[in-house]
Amino acid sequence: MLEQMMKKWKDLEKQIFNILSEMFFLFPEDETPSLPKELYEGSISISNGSPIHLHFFIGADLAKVMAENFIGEDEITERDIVETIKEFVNMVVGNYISDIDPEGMMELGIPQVRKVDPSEVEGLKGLAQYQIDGHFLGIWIKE
Amino acid sequence: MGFNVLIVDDSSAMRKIIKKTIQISGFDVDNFYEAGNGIEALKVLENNWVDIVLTDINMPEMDGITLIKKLRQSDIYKGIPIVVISTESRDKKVQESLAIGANDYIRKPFKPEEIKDTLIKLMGEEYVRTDDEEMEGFGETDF
Repeated sequence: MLEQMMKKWKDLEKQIFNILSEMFFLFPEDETPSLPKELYEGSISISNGSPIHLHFFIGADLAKVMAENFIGEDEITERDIVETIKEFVNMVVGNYISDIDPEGMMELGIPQVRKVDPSEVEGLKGLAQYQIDGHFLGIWIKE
Repeated sequence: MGFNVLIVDDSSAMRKIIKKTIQISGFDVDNFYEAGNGIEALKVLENNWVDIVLTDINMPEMDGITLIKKLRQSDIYKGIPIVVISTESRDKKVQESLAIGANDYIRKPFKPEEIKDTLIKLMGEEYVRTDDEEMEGFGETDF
């Protein structure tokens, strides 16, 4: 089942873009993004036996715009940004497994957020990179 | 006189969004209480009367399923309406929540009208202020 899930990368991508557009009013662009100097990592696991970890690398400028658009306030705190990333990760992956696992066999973990140095992300094998309204978003899946 | 609402979600950003949605929907709410998980929710309930609980499922320390079970086993809280608001929309999870006593289920991302309609169904229309034109222009947004 996990192998099948990995093949459904496009479904995950679709969920990411849906949530970004519907909830955060942000849209993907056909450009190659550059790695920003400041990055947040939102991660969550899904498991049915052996866990899979999904990592979302979000540029600090993108994270701030996401929080502003989501909460609808001009004054955004660091906590707002962290909590917004948690909710973004939770919604993307929660909706994703609802689609691929309607029987509810897989368990969704608790989202975690931390700041990461871009050097940790650079060179990650299999990192998918997107430009979202001029900002960096990276997705990496670790089995 | 309004009613008291307890919002249980580990994301403070999502708690803000739910609270704002209820306010903009025109409900007469006396007090909003917030909790980051089931344990915090039970502590809030020890000291405050709550008329309705809106809870996420996937939370650290004590999840929404456990919280619902505890409330339904309690002589004091067993009658309080409970609405699950979660990314978990798989049949198994939805049915489990309803089977153990949740009154309704809303999937994230949600439309403001879904919250409004559910609260009217469970609490009655008498709590909605008639000057709720604030909803205008707000209905197209998902949260």
